[in-house]
Amino acid sequence: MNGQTSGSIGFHVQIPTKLVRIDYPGAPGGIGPLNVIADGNVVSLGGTVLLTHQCGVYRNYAFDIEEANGTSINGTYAWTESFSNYSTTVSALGPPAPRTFNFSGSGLVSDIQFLGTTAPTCPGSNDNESFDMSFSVTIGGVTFPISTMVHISHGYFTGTPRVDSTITTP
Amino acid sequence: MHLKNLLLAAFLITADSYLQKPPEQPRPDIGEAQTSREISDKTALQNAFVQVLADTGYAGGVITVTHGCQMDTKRFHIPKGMRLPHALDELTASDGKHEWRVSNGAVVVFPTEGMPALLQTRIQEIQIQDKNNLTLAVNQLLQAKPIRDEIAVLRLQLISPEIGFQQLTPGDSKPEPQPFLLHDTSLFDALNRIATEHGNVAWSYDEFDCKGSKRLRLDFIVK
Repeated sequence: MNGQTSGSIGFHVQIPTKLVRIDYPGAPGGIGPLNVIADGNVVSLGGTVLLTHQCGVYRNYAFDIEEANGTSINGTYAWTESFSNYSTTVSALGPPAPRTFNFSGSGLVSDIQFLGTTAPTCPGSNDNESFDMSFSVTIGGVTFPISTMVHISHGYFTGTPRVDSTITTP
Repeated sequence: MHLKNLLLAAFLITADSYLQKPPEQPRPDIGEAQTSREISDKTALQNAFVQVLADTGYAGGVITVTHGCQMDTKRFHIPKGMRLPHALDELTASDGKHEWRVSNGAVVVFPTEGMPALLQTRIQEIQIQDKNNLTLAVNQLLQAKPIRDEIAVLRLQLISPEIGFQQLTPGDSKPEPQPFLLHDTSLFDALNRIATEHGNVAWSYDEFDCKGSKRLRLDFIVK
C-alpha cells in the first residue's frame, strides 16, 4: 500500500501512473526545437548521435514518469510504448510493434520523434504519419498502466515540416 | 531453351537464398530460464516474443515477412513460470508460421519458409561505434555498402525508424562509447552479435509486401 508502514519497518510500493512534461536543458516545458535536416545527424536530448546521414524532421521531448502524488519513480523498470490509431500518407502500413526500454534510475526520460530517410533521398512533400502512444511500466514483474496518452503527428504537410505532440489524457 | 534454363537458374538461386535457415547450433542451457509473466492476449508475434523473453536475461531477435500491409495478430496463451524452451515452442505453435533457434547465443524466431535474403547479406568488416547505442548500430549496418546494394537489388524501402525513449541523467558525463569490430558477418549474425554483446535486448526485422511495394522495418524493440 502506498506509504503505509508495517511494524517498525516503513515501506513504499511505487505505483507509476502518469507521464508529465518537464523543463530540461534544450527542451523548455519538455518540448525541444524543431530540427530539419537535409543530410545530418539525429541527436538525442542527452547529446547522443542516434542516426547519421538522414534527411527529415525531428524533435526531442523531456518527460518524468511519476506516481499519482507527483513523485518521480526510481529504480529498475521496463518502460513500454504501444502505438494505435496509426495513419500515414507514406504507405498503407499499420503501426509498429510495441517498444520496451529497460531503465535504471529516476523517471526522467526523453523521447525523440523523427520522420525521415537516408540522404540523399528525402521524404516527399506530403509524407507524414500520426498515431497515439500509450504506455506501461513493469516493476518486479508487475505491470502498471500509465494514464497519459500522447498523440503524435510528424513529417511534411504540403511542404511544411512539422513535429507535433499533444497529451490527450493528462 | 537458353531462356528457360536461365529462368530456372534464377529461380533456384532466389529460392536457395530465401530458404536458408539459421545454422543449427547446440542449444545453450536456456532450459533453466522461465517466463516472468503470463501472456494471454491477441497480439503480434513480436510483442508476444518480447514478453516471453522478458527478464530471462537472454537477447534475441524476431523475423517476420508479411504478405500484406498489417502485422498479423494471433492469440497466445503462455503461463508465467514456464521453461523458456517450452514457452518458445508454445509461441511458435500458436503462431504456426515461425520456428525458433539459438544462434550466436541469441534466441531467434524466424519464418518457417526461411530467412529473408537481406539478412543473409555479408559484410566484410564493420566497426560498430558503440555497442550500447543500438539505434546507431542498426543505422550503421543499414548504411554498410553491401547492405545498401542489396536493399536496392531487392527494391526494399526502409520505413522511418521509431527511435523511442532514452533515460535522462542530468549532470552525469556521457559513458565512453564501447566500439567493437565485426568481420565477415551476415547482417543476421551482426544483429545477434550486437544483441548478445549488449545483453537483454531484442531486435525485430519486419518485411512487408504491401500493395506492390516491399517495405522494411529494422529496429531494436527491446533496448
